[in-house]
Amino acid sequence: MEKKSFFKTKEGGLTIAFVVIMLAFFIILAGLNSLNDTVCLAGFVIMVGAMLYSPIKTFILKPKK
Amino acid sequence: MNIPINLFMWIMAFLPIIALLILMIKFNWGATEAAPVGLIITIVTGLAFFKADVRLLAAESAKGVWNALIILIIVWTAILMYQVGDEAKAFLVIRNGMRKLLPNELLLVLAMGWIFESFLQGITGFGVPVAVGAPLLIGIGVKPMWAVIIPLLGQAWGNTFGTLGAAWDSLAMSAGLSAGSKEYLVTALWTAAFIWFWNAIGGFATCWFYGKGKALKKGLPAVVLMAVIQGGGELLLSQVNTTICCFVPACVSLIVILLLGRTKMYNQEWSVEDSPIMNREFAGQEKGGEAPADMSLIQAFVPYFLLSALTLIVLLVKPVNETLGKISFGLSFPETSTGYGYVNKAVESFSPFAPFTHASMFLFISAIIGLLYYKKHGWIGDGGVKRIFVKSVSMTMPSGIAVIGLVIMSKIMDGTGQTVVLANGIAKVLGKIYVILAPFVGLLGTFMTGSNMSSNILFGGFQMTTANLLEVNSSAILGAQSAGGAIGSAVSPSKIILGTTTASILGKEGEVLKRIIALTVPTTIVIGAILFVLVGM
Repeated sequence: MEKKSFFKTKEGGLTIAFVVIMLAFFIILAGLNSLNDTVCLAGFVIMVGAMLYSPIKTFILKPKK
Repeated sequence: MNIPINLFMWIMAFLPIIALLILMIKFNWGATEAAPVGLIITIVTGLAFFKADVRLLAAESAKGVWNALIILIIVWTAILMYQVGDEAKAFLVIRNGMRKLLPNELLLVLAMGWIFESFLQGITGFGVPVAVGAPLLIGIGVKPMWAVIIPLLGQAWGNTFGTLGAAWDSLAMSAGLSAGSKEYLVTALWTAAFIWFWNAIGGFATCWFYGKGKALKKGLPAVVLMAVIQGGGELLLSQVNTTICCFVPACVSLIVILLLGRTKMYNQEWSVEDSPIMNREFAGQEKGGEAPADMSLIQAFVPYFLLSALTLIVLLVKPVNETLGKISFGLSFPETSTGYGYVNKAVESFSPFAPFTHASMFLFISAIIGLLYYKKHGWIGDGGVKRIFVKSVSMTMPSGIAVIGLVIMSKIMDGTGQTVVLANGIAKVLGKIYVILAPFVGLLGTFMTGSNMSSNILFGGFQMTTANLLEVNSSAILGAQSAGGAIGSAVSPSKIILGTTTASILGKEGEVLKRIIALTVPTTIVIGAILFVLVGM
């Protein structure tokens, strides 16, 4: 059986989502330190987007397949 | 604070929690899927009804990620430790060895699912007993679902005074109880009394799950003895030293249960063949190969002995603890406030992380030394080390997203004033009847935050204020808060997910929650009713 690449598995996808959340975390911290609401908003939106990976993948993308 | 406390606002504040419960219990969603939805609802209600701004939401999210990271380091190191044992096939040795020491299968399940978890909770906590206990129980043939449920029940009683009294200290701090004062000791007594009740329930429930009435009858003397040692011991020691009042009885109970296995009552092979929690096919086979013949039971437990020794030395030897605890770092956050004037004060060092006195460090060092020890003896072969690290990371990631989502959700609820509205609304509407719900508030706090300590920080002050407003015994109310919080650790999604991760049944959190909630909620209500009869009438 062909071995699936790690990043194509759900765990791999979640790992990428985790990395994106960490990135967003640092963007938010930078925004808070410079009191820049636009940077805070950008980081916050990225973080929420990454958080939604699992429900979207499980209940929207997967059933369509 | 000018947040209007009315039914509509209360429903809005409760919406994220009810959504989370419905998705997990009714629709069987896993926490990884349900937590982000709960988070989105919290963000919407926070923005639309609690007048939060982007900076506040971003700041609370960042605080949530930071807190979640500190929890996730424990998750990863606990999983790493499990993977080390799994790769060396130490769990097969533990299973076989414990079976020899405890031929009575019920006593074996009690020892591995209740007593050992109590011991771990006494020193580590933060979900470690669940993460470590689940694979151990699977190793002795317990079905994965029950291998998660039993440790969750087994560790819960130790959540207030366990981890060397961390949650208790936070209750005393948030309620303004000074250590050693009469009020402090009376509150500790109430807390320990309620916890004793739950401790016994945990033991009896495990027997019931194992083999209904037959197992209850067989296990009765053991459970009574263990509950007297653990719950009773904690009650007595709470009047002497709250730091060790869980750990000491937990250690004693671990020794006593092994001795109990040698008594006439329990030294013969005994099992309920059709036990609904046991996987008989599993027990008959050597899953994952054969146990190494030259590994003794003591050698299999080496990482756990190390963990206990390290934790005790670092946490109990004051000079060591003070020196290592000096190295810590936290993040600074600016002040934020909602349109209703609910203020989150600026903090210089939010939730400082002291890596060398943190449970994750003890787990990491124990896992690495255990790995080297097993490798030296040839129990971990070529490629084993790489496998251990890859598996530990890929097992941590799914639970990571859920933990981050849940912690951010609770932070935003807290930061926007939703938590305060939730608690105040209950007290305003119910009057003295509120007393019945006092432990339930504690449970709710732990459900939301994943920690008895956080629940006490969140609601300790509120419970104290409410008790004074209603003119009821504040020590009893605080005791019920913390006991409810301890019970809540059995239903906390972020703890459940640790078990489902190491038991390899990720996504089944809803099923686990459904079964445990049927035990925890009635127990909390009984504690509330007892409290009402004693102090509310």
